[in-house]
Amino acid sequence: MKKFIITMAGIACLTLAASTAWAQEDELKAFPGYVDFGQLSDIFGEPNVEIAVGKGLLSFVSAFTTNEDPEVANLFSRLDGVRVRVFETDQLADGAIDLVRNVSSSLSGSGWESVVSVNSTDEQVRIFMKLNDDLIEGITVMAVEPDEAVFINVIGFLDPAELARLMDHFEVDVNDIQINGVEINGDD
Amino acid sequence: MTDHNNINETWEARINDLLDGELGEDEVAELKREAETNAALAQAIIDAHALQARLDDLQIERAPESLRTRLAEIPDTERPLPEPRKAGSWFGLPRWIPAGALAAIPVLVIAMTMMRSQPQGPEYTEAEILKAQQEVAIAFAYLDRIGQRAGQQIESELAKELSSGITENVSRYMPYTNHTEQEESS
Repeated sequence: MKKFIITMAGIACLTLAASTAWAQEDELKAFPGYVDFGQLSDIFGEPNVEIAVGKGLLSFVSAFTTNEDPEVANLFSRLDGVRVRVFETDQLADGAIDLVRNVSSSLSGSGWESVVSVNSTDEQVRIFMKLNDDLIEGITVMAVEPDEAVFINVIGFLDPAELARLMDHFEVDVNDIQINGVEINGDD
Repeated sequence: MTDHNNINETWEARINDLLDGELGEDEVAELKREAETNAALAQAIIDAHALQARLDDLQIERAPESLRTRLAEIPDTERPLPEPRKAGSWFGLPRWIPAGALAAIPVLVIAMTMMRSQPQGPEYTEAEILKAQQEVAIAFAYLDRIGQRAGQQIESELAKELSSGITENVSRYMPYTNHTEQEESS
């Protein structure tokens, strides 16, 4: 099967318009898998990566991907929204750990199940899933480290096993993304 | 002019690409080899070249302004129906179609196919859709990276705990081990 190839290397400028992102955000709030992360900018400053893709746009993405990769298109068609905020930081931001704990507490109290929890002095990772019967309605990830804070909210049906299997189809290296001409380095 | 019904769509597309100068050397050579044994294809290529040459020679004269104004005022319903297709036209198309339009037909077919397969709703530009495609891929890449890191962290902690548990249990029954370690450390 033809691979769904997206080459991110060489993208000199990935400007994510805030107005578009906010409009998409409003569209997503109605879904049960939506998570309010609170005022992230108050703690981490301006995000280096800000992604908000709503259901309407995802439908078009799915349609456009059908010929290239039907499996990936099928995965996209079941999503209602994708939100990502990535903050590059110099040190663990004040209030970051409290924020992760508060949001985690709120999620646990509203039907989200904690799947992964990593607590260490310099790293806090939480992965939650919202289940409705056997269906996954959303996945939420919070990962806070001294040099980076990542918040992800995938809304819609997503099978983690399917995602792991299809990851090879997205030839994206998050360590190779350049935003506004500045390389965002991971430390894998 | 030869009947082109024997030419399949692949060759038809190749001929269009040939006229547009979009074929590579290998593809041109392949087309040439095929034409040597396929008379219909050879004739189709010759006709296509001839048609393009004639179209290139056409001189477009602009109608007088008064005539264009009057034509524009005629409602669509009163305009005469187009003439039926004439026999002998290239692939069933009238000869007056500009070469550019001929070349654009495959693009239009693809566009219409894609439009049919697209969901109805708010309209997005292709650039917006491609950008969203990249963004979703980035989101999944972050998701994957965090999942892998967390998995490694958990495995590492579990390995430490297991290792520590086993060592402690073994040490409990083997005082000599502790003694040796203490000696080494001192």
